[in-house]
Amino acid sequence: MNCERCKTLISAEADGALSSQERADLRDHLSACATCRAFSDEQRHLESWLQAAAEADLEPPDHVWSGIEASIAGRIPSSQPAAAECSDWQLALSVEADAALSGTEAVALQRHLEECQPCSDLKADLLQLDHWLQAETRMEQEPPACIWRNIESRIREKEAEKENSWDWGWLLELFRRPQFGYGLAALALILVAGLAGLQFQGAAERESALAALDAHQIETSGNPWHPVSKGLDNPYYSVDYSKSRNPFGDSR
Amino acid sequence: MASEISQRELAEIVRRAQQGSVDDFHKLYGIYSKPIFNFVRRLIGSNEDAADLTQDTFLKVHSELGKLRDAGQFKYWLFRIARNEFYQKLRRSQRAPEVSIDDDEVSYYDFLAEESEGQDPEQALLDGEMHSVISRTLLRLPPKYRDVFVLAVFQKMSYEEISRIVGRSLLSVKTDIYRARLALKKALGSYMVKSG
Repeated sequence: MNCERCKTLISAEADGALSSQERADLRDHLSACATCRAFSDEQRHLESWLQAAAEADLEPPDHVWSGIEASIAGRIPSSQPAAAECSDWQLALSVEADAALSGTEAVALQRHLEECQPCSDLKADLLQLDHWLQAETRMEQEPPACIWRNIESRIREKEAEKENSWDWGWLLELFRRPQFGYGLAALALILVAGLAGLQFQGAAERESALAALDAHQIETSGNPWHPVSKGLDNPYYSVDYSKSRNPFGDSR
Repeated sequence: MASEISQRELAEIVRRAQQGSVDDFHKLYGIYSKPIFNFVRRLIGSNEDAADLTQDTFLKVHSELGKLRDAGQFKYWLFRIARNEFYQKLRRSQRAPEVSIDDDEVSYYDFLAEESEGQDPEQALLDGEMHSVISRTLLRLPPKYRDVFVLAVFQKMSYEEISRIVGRSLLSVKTDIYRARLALKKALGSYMVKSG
């Protein structure tokens, strides 16, 4: 057996995985090889140390489970409120400083402050800050008098410019007025009515002209389908085919 | 101040100013110039810049007054214009301190921590140093916290009014004011511990 094989058997022995033959071979090699004997002793020490460490494992403290249980149940101990839970109350403190908190909200906030030290501390700080800001509020300043003078002179300049130039503003103003819209609609109605009237008048004139023509034809020949050419203004009715140079005229 | 005259009278003044009366516009200036001047002064931190902003605000108001439909909303409209003028100036001058307007709150009050270091709090209080400490601290707040905080604490406006001016939700206004308070508390922390 070589040393490499021996080391493998030493590790397997620790796990109790050797056959009786392997155990006998290992024992023979260890009695002959000092290096492997030293390795075997080292392994045995390590095993015993690991065994002792495994026996010395500690139980987790009881409060670990109670903390887990409280988190699962959504119950946070009131002595240490979660930061996320307090952010709403801290926002409410700011709203309270601006006197914008409703009565119900103020009561709820007060109840929370009695239980929560960090929020109470924040309130004290905000009150201090508010005190300083109130003092700052009293330090209002008057605007310099020159501001209005400048504004007024600019307004006058603009007015003068307006007077000297053609102003289309009135036209725009006119467009903006609702009366302008009504007027425009009325004008459109009048135009449509006028056009319709003209159309009607034209149609009536055409009708009367045709009626006159019909009456004239009946009066002259009695037969509208063979009108006698005489007396009609229509040049096609006045053609005398017998005197025509039309070659077709002779063949008639 | 605006509270000394009724809302109806105020609306009448606004209407006459809309029709071009400079005298009535002067009345509006008389009522609101001080609140506007102090509002922008606290936002920008300089009297000279505040005077310019006040002037620009009222000139803008004068040119746009005809577009205001509800005269009863004049106050909110005026403050909104003043706030817009402040933001425009901030953008123009690229003087936004450390953080941009839309910056998030990652480190919004970390940089305030050393504000009061090396000063004797009692002496500071006696000297009125607290005034300049508060002013400097305010200027280091991100503008979106600063404007709502100034409106709530110094202009004594309700959260609803502020929400109308800044165009943000009530909850956002409430939260930003709270954050501004926390930032100030942190910045003035050493004064609180020693003087408290």
